[in-house]
Amino acid sequence: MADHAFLRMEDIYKEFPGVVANDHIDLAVNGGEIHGLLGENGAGKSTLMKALYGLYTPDSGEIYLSGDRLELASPQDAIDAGIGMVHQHFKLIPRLTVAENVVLGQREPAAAFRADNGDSRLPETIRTNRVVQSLAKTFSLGLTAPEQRIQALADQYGFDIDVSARVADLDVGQQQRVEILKALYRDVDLLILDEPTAVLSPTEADRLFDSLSRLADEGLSIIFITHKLGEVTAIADRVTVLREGRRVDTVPVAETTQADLAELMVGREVLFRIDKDDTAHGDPVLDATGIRAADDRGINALDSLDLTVREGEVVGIAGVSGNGQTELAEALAGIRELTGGDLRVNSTDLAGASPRAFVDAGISFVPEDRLRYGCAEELSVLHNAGMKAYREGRFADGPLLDYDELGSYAESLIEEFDIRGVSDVTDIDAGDLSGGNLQKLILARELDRDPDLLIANQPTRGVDVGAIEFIREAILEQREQGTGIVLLSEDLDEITDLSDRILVLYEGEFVYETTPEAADRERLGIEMTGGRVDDEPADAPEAVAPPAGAGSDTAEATDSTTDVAAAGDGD
Amino acid sequence: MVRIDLTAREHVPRWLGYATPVVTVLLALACGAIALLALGVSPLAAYWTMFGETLLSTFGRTQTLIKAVPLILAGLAVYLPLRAGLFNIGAEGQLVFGAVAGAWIGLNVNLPGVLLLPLMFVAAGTAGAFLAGIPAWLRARWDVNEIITSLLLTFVALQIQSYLVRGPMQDPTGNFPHTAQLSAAATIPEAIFNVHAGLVVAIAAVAVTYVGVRKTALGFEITFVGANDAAARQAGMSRGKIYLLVFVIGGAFAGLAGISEIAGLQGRLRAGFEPGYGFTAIPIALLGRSSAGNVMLAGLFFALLFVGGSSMSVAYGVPAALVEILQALIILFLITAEFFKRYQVDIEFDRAVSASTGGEA
Amino acid sequence: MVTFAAGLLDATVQAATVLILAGLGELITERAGVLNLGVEGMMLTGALGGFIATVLTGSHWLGFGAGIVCGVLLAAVHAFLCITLNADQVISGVMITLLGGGLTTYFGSAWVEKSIDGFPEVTPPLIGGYLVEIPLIGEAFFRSTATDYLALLLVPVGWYFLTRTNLGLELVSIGEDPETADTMGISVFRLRYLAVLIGGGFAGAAGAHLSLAFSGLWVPGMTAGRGWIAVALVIFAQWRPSRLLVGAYLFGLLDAFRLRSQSLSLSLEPGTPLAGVLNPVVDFLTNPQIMGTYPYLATIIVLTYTVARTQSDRLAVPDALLEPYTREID
Repeated sequence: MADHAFLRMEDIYKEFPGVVANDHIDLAVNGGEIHGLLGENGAGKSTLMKALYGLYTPDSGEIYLSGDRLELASPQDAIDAGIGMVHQHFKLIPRLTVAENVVLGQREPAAAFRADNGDSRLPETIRTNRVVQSLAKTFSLGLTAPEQRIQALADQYGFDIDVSARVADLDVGQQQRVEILKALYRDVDLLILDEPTAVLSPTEADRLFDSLSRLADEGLSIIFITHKLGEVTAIADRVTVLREGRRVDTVPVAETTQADLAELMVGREVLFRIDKDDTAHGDPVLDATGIRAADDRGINALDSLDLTVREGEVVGIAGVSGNGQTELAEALAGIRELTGGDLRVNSTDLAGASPRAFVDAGISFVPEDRLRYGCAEELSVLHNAGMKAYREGRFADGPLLDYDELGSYAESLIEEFDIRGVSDVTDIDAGDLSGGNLQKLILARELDRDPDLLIANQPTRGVDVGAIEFIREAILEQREQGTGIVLLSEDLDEITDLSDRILVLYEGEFVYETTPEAADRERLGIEMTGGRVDDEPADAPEAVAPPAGAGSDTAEATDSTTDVAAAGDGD
Repeated sequence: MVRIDLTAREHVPRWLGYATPVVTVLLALACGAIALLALGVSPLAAYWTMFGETLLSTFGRTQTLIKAVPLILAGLAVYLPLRAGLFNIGAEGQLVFGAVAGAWIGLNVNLPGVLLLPLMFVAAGTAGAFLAGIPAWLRARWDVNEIITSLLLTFVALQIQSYLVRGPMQDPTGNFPHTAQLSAAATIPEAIFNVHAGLVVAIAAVAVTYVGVRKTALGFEITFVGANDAAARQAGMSRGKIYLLVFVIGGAFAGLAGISEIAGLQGRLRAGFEPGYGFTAIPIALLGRSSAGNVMLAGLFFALLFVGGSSMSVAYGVPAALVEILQALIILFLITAEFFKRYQVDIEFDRAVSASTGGEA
Repeated sequence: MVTFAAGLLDATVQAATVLILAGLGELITERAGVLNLGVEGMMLTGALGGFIATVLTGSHWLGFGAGIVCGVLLAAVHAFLCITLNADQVISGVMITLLGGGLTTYFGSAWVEKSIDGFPEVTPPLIGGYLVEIPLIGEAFFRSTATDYLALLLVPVGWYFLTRTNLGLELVSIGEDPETADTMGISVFRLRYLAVLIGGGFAGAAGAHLSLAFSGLWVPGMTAGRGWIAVALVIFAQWRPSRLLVGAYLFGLLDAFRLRSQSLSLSLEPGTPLAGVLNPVVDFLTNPQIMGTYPYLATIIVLTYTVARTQSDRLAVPDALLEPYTREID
């Protein structure tokens, strides 16, 4: 690393309960450089940048900007030091105009009181007086000069924005540019962008890249967090790859390929396999054709997907979060409306049906956000165990609900799934359980229904190691009993261990299909991050990519095995 | 240097949950004592009259039970929606609506008492349910805040009642804002403890609510929707249906409160007959939020407050508004206590001013 | 007819002042994201406090000031409960109204017999003599008490504050998205406190106006629900000061009209067509109590209409209204 780098983060260490997010990471960014920060979810990119932006304080390590040591206790400190951040979830107030959003917190006084206003009729001595300034900043608001300045900045970088427009009336791409303007207005020297293209269409993304190039040309340093290979190679000068909290490498983009980057990102470990019985797959349980759905912002998240799942088949959906997994899982579980397409479960048409219909159709759901959709924290284990079962006849005692029976039921689930920490099913609340035990409870409840279709979204996220194995085994067992399973996971091990078929979801589409036997981590990594396989050097084994969803992958099987053996020193 | 540290509690100790209502009441009484002293009245003597003497005399106990009837029913009217996560501040209006409907039947329908009274109750319950259904429907359909709508409708109901007793329902003999006296057939007879049968209705309502919430599948759903409506929806429970149901039933209870007060006690519908039962129902529901049985106890306590309060005010010349003050203080301390239940407060006194910045929290 | 109209206008203006003062304060509070249902209670304490101060000191303005202070004190309780302790805003507000009502009735009993000369009615300086001569509206608008004029003046001041000052901009932002505002360096807690206290001060002023200008008396419960109407008014006005002014006059007019409608015979001659149908209908619609429901019904309709529209149109309601704000305590 050059000692004269503009930004230097040295030996950053940050630990959270149970996980080391940043493990002695060094980062150096030069002036006027666009530096990509690449890694899977959980690799530590966000944490590192939050430390740079003053949202977290590292446990140890130092940050230097232009050679000066920085102590960043809050975002305000970061802004004062010249560091700006464009968040993934915009921090904008829709009701206010662009200009108002940009100047919020800056307390720009009315024009007459501006210290730099030569045309003001107030004599300078009065204008610059501290008391007058303080009063003017509180009780007046001058937008004319700021608007001019913002408009100038916008024009300079090719942002097509009307500064007096209400933010609510702008589209997503424009809103993002307002976020950037907020930073530019405050004269930042370093700009951090967190997954900026997550909400943009390809055209908008291109425009963003144009603007970023121009900004870098003017000397602004840019750090660009992403998990998309294509973007890194398109715009970054250099890229730092993080994996599991450590910096793997920093390379100039011109000297590397997407394949290399994918390798750095996901590593080349030998695949560990759980023994799976070869179950014969039965009739299709789930038949989804052309399904489309929108995310919470109204942007299209699923782009005409087809998905068929058979009895006893596990379909693993690999992908980095933010590519439509949540929306897909919710749509299949019935809690997100489809904006198009057909959805059939066991030949029952469920498009547009209520959540209740989905439950009654024999669909079970283990949601990604277990506290939000999976349980009621303040209610007892009994309540949560019986969340869907309470309607069943065996719990009816005439017109009443047989709580004793529900209690026994809950206890049986606890025993069967080895859920710890429950001394009394009526006294312990769901919120009292550890992550792993709560997940086991949810899984127990969902599996015990003997569903025809199970949707499991990140079933082992935030779960301790012991519970992880248990949960995976439970899923496989359910598979043997004939349930069709849709498994969405960011954990490639999990996908390859449990699935019969693997689909890669990227930007709302299935871009690749394979099987665990044929799968190659590197290839999966590329597909998951939107890389293009034909970008590789000519001697790579899988030079020709089969189109998404195509059939046989057997031709590649032997090749990938050779690769694994040959490149055993991967890490 | 005093440093106050706040840490969110991970688990609320059970004893804290039980102690809270008791402590809040005691604190409120302590503050009320200050108001009494300000008027030169001995708090101990006044409180003794208020609580002790009332409970010791048969008359006092009977009056308390009578007063408790509308309070318990109104308390249930707030309690049930609260279970589902909704706030029914409109119990006052639903109560009045019920009184109006029931009284109208009582005055205009000619049937023997054994048929007339149930009909009056049904009418009252329906009217209260109807009024409550409006905010519930607006909330279920368009997510319009039920707090505001139920509150505003209360005032609408009060005005409508005022109109009726001065107009179409007015007692033709004389020009007072009240209806004619209800006939004997339309009067609720005495049932238990020298109190009219409205008490039986109230107790029955408590029992039904308790069983309904604690022991039926519907109650299960209500509880779940109140705890986490997103998860409830995922489980297939219908939020809209539950919202409507709890408000409608709550409104019906409030309506019953209204008619039992009129037909059981007051004998005729007057303008302004209800001294804020619907608003008192709010602290009652809060104190008793854990179960319908506790709502009943809270209702009894507040009835005691009212009855004791008026006898105290007569005995010592203290304005009856003290009861209102006490009510408000109870709520005040209740919501303060909520905070202490959720957070643990550690107060430290640092003698030495340390040179280094302390370690991370 | 003319005298009826003139008297009506006069009463309208008087009724509107109370609503304007209380409504403006509540508007500012709600724009910052806090619902204050204690307006009625704060008005009562302002009325009593102002009355006592004036009786004791003989000064109207001191009394008015005392009324404001009383409102602020009660608002401080609400602010502490809702902002620091994160208590439920609805419960706290209702409790404050109960407390205010109870306290003023309790401690005000000694002052019921007294009466004072309220604020004198004056005309604006210089041009007042001419303005009063304007037919119909002259007397109503231009011969009023100082507090009436003050209320009118405060409307554009309030508008200016919210839209043209940095403090106002920040206040609006914390009512829309406190998290974003916090990130931009704005002190959410301090500003919310300020907003609630301002609201309390305005409510106290409204109450003081009632006892010192409107009537010159103290009567327990004299606000008679005007605080609740003010809360409804803010919603009806969709949180905009200009609409608040119009709404205050509308509600004031309704109030004034319904008290006078009995004296005005509005029925058609029995012979005219449809008289049989229209007369009872008109009678019903102009009945004082029925008219008393109109402000509330209108508000419910406006609120439903505001909320039921599509996402981008929902901008009228402060987004963070009723949501307590906490920094993550980790």
